Amino acid sequence: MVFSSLLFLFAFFAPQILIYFCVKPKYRNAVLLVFSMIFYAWSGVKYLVLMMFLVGISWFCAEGIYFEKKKGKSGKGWMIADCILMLGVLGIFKYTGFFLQNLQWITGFPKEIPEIILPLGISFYTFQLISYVVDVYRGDAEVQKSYWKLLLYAGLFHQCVAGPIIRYQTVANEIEKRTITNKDLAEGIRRFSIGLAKKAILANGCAEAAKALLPETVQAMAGVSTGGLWVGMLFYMLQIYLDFSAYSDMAIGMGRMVGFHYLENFNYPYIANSVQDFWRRWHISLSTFFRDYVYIPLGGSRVSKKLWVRNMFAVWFLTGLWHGASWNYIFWGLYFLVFLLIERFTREKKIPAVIRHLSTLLIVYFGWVLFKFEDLSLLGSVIKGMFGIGITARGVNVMTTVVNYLFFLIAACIACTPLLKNLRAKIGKNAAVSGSLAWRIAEIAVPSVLLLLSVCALVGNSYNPFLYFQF
Amino acid sequence: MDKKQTKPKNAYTGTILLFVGILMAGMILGMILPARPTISEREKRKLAEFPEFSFETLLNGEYFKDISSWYADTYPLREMWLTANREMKSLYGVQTTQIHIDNEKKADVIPVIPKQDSSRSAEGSKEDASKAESSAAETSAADTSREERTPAGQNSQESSKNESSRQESSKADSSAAKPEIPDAPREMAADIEAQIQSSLYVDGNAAYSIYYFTQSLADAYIGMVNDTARRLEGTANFYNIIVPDSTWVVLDDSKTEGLGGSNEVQAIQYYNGMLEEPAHFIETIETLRSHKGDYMYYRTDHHWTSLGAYYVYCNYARAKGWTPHALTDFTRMDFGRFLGTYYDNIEADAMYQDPDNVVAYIPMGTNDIRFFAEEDNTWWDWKVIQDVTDWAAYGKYNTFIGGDNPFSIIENPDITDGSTCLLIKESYGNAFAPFLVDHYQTTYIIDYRYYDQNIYDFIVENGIQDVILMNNIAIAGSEYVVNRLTSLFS
Repeated sequence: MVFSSLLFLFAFFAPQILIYFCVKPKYRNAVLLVFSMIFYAWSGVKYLVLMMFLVGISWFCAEGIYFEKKKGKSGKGWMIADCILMLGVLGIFKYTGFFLQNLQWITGFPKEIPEIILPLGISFYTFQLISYVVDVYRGDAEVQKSYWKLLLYAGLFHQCVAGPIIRYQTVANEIEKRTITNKDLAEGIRRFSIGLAKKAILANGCAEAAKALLPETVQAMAGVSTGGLWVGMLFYMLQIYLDFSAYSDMAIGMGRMVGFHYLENFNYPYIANSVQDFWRRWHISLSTFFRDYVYIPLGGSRVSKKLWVRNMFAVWFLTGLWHGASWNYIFWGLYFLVFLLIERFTREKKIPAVIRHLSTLLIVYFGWVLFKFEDLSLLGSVIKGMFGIGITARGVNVMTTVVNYLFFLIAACIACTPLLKNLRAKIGKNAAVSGSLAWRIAEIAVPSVLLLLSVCALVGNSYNPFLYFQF
Repeated sequence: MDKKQTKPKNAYTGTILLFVGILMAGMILGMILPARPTISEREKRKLAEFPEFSFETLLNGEYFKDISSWYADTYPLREMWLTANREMKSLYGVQTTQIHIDNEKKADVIPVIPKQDSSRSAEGSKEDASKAESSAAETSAADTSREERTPAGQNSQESSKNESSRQESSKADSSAAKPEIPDAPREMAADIEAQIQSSLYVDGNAAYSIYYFTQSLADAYIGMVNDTARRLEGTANFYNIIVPDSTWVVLDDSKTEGLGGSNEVQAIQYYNGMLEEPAHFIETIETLRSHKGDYMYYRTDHHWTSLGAYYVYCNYARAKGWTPHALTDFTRMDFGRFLGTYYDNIEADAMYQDPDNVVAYIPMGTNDIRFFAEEDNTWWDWKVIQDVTDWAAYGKYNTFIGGDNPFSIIENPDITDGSTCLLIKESYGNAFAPFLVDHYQTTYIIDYRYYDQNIYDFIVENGIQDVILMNNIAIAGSEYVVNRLTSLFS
């Protein structure tokens, strides 16, 4: 089930909200858990069994750590065992095919590569479980005695399939006890509806335009033009941010509605003024995960220059690899590493803000080209094609697409900036305006209008996959 | 002070009540099963069905996935939501030309066929092209050029529909000794024709379909034709006609190439070139392209006009060794304003302002046709070219042979040599069929989408001499069509 579907909205989320607020507070966790299990089972019952099993392992390992600690020991063995098991399962499901493919390429063995389907959300929930066990080991979090509550943490439908990756400490208290005010509920609704509209209207629209302009196979290169590739990639760049951040918006909004306060996952990454700044604003929960569980344990930046470069390499190699089992994702991670190193070693130089901002956007833009094309020969053709090499088609449809999507494009760009958010805050401070009837009606109506517009866009919209589901 | 504090609180309550209210209304609406549509007239397709349960699909998630698509696809008030969505999308930008792409579609590279066997095509006789055609072309071009088109039927009443006009005609004696034809699903036709409409390029008052070649389906289709023709050898001649879309005929190639999709010229060359003896093909696309500028295709509909069909008929006649009739030999009918399926789909105002115009030519020998209608399981006496002047603007393509029916017969009293032909077609064949009437004593027409009997047996039992299989290229490339024809010919 995806959030931006009618079935989710009206046959899942609506009853969930209804039942959640009708039952006594002590049953509310049970309601969330049952709905989360249904949500997860929707992608295939067998994957639910796998998730419940992995939660069981982590629960058991954390218990092990707890008892070792009582005895005055560290419980490191349990922690390591859990990490090996979690990463092992993730590796088997996600990277076996990739590994064998490379092995076959080098040695010619094996003859056949098995096709393994990636269980939904496994990249996200295994990381959450690792963070839980490691935090218990480090003493940063209390052990969770109840398996069901740990299952709720890892499997809560808000975030279990596409993030944000939530640290156990963030929600440890709220799993036990939550208070919900009208403000929480209303702000949650606002956040959710913004995310829904961002996905259903803007991201899906960008996806449509990008798909029309970008090739899917090397053969299809024959029909694309240089301009088409540039414009297509622009739509893709907008799509990937709007899509992914929309999912986080919805997760944060739904959490807020039932009293969970998840941390922000995006902070308008396209207004960044350096690559480092971009990564502080993009998929924050993943960056902090790698920072806290890879970078800092390796020594962080408080080591020799050589070791620091090694640490950086480890983080960016893993960041790339996490996004997908294909070389292009690894290149994508290392591509950013190169720019981060350049920034680090040349930071004395004064560059005007506009240039810094534009060059960051351009670096990120080309990063998405690497990210988009898993087929390396197609990736090569696209990069060449963007500079007019090997292009035969004239792009009559490029200008058409731009003109057809002109206002949409402007709206999508605005949605990538904090412009509207700041505007609302500013007006809200002005008592004369914020006290007016029109403003109050607008405040009340906006989430509902966004919901209705999204429903229009979702009815019969056959093209509706979430990009980040593949990770 | 008190008042100030309640303000935001009221706003929160208002936000919650309104949003949750809509959510609940949506939930209840979704539970009203009888309100769910099953087919979409506008999209010309069958909507998703509730999946059948199986343990396997439950485990791997397919069962639930299908429920999700069913839920969204058949959500109540679908048309209303779609209209609202279209209104919203019209604000996306400046809508002069548009491209609607079916993102799922991918094109295969079309293999080049080394050498065509021209002896089996009408190409060979191109040099001695009869005077009939050139004179016909001249008159027809004048007849149908845009400037000359009369805006007839502008104020015709759109309320009278296909059905009501039909009621006025006499019902035929249903005891006629013809094969019994069981029911066939009407929605299938809608499904197949949607192939043409899934990717469109819209330029002002005209839409053009973007075609995607699929090698495996083309090979399966060609295999089916070759196999059937071989089995019919000595019994009947088999002619395969693949009709292009307007895109590669009407637009300039420089423009068409930029649209993406596959080259229909190459694709038809492939279909034709891969045919083996004794199957014949009739050349279409080069001929139609040589008449560029003529009104051969509708702009607001996915079909071709009488004139487009006429040029291909000329090729067929020459392949048979006949002299094609000149267009001036027929009685020309002009039924006026026509807004077709593309208009249904896009509802472009430019199309509404500048609609198409339906012209038809009544056969000389007879204008009577008898067909079996699957809606009511009865035989109808009808007209080959029905006067549709007063019909709704969207129904005028139905002037030809009474629209799509499983089985039709036209007996020409002027011909008594026992000659017979069978046209197996989808709706592209409708505009073509009238031109066959003056060459055969009996013209049979089967719309294979609705006809459920074995066509091979029918050909053998009725001693059919010439079998013509006519399909639009996009329809010929549909998996359903290939499978269905294969089974009907088995």
